[in-house]
Amino acid sequence: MPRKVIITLFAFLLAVAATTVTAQAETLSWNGVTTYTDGTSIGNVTVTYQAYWSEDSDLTDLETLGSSTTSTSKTFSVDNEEMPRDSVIYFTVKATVNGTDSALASPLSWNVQTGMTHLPSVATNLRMN
Amino acid sequence: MTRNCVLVFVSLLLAGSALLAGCGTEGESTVASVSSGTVSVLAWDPPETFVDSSPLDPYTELDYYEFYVREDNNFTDNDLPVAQVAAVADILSLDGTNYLQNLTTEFELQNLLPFVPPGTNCFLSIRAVGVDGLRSQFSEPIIWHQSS
Repeated sequence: MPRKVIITLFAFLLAVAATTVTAQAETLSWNGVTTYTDGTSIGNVTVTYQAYWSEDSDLTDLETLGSSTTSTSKTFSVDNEEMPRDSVIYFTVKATVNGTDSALASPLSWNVQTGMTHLPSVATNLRMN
Repeated sequence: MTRNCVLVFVSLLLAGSALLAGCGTEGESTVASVSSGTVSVLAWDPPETFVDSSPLDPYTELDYYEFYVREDNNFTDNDLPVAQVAAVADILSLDGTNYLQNLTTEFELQNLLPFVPPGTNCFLSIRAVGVDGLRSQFSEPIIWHQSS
């Protein structure tokens, strides 16, 4: 029986959004794979995912985003991952089933902010005494 | 006494004349105002959070405050501060043996006098600057009635 290659259509990245885990936490999410390239269902087989990021839109020089996971999201810190602030980076993810890897998902671009979440709040109750 | 120990950097960062010319005369806003004849310091409550609501330790995460003066209350990022003061000052302990960290929450108004000619009204606002150089938004401005 020929080995099937995991379909990549369902492994696109959904969003990068701030979370409330910590002030600097971000979460990358994606839809899990459900079928092989021939359309048959993956079923209950364990799927692991490895997320990556790159400064290049062609996904060269991939940096791993943490370790592989069975989850369909990955929380990370811009600073811990040493992502370049105030520039665009690209995320992708790869699914693996029984040792067989999918192709990389289409890249998701993301503008790494300049740390604006660390703007101090305004001083309050300005007054004259 | 604490005020006397605060490191004050009244910086003539701007052409003072431009600011002097910028201050108005009367009744431009409904913002609460106080006459300078009865006051001596500008005071405020330091921020205790970042804009994302995470906690901010003003002792370690604030660098300094900037002071702004305008003839109106339309403060923008293009405005330049006329003075700044360290967010934390070291003051000598009562027994004189060591220094204690003290949050700066006041600024002597006389330091701003060069930018506010007598008989005019000016708006004052401040911004907190974090140790990473990021600035807060402008505080709610107040009017300073500088008497002759």
